[in-house]
Amino acid sequence: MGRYENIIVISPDCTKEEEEELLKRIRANLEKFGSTILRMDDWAVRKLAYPIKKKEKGHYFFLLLEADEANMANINKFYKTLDMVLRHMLVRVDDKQNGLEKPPDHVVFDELEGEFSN
Amino acid sequence: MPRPTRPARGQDGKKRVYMRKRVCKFCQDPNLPIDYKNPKLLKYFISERGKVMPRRMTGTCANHQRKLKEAINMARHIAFLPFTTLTK
Repeated sequence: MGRYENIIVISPDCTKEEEEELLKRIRANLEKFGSTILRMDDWAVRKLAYPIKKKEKGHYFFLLLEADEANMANINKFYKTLDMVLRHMLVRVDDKQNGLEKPPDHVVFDELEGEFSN
Repeated sequence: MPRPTRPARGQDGKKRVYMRKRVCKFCQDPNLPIDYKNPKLLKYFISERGKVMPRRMTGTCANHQRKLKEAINMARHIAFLPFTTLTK
């Protein structure tokens, strides 16, 4: 058993009901794979540093899991089956880690960026 | 009349560039974590083009540079940092 951080980026196009459905499914599947969700943060819709699947924005969720290493492959496989999840990442962290107080700040990379996105 | 001062030259005759000795930011402040979730901090260590800055520019020590690289690569994966920026 170990502590894992899990960030998922969901497509901003999906409706609220779709999103809730998706999160419910994710939660159910994570528990099925023997992991407990210690924390689940909504980091709101953020601008992506580069487009993913032609989407400029993404809805970030941060999860803190207590999970078994053997199930990581299954969780990864499960995330890959979801079309609405643009990106996911699982990171093993120290057991004292408790996630962030608030979502990380937005960062602007260059002045040109704004011109192109408009 | 005072003699004009010549720029200091190294052994090969090239103009020596003086740079202030830079110290590793993370060694100075051990409480500063290298975290992929903190793009604001990581942004300091990437160039305008989005490349990882070399150690000789930022003064980061080898150990921390390695961790920094890992963090930047992770931040890139979840689109917190760009792989590259748009060209003009």
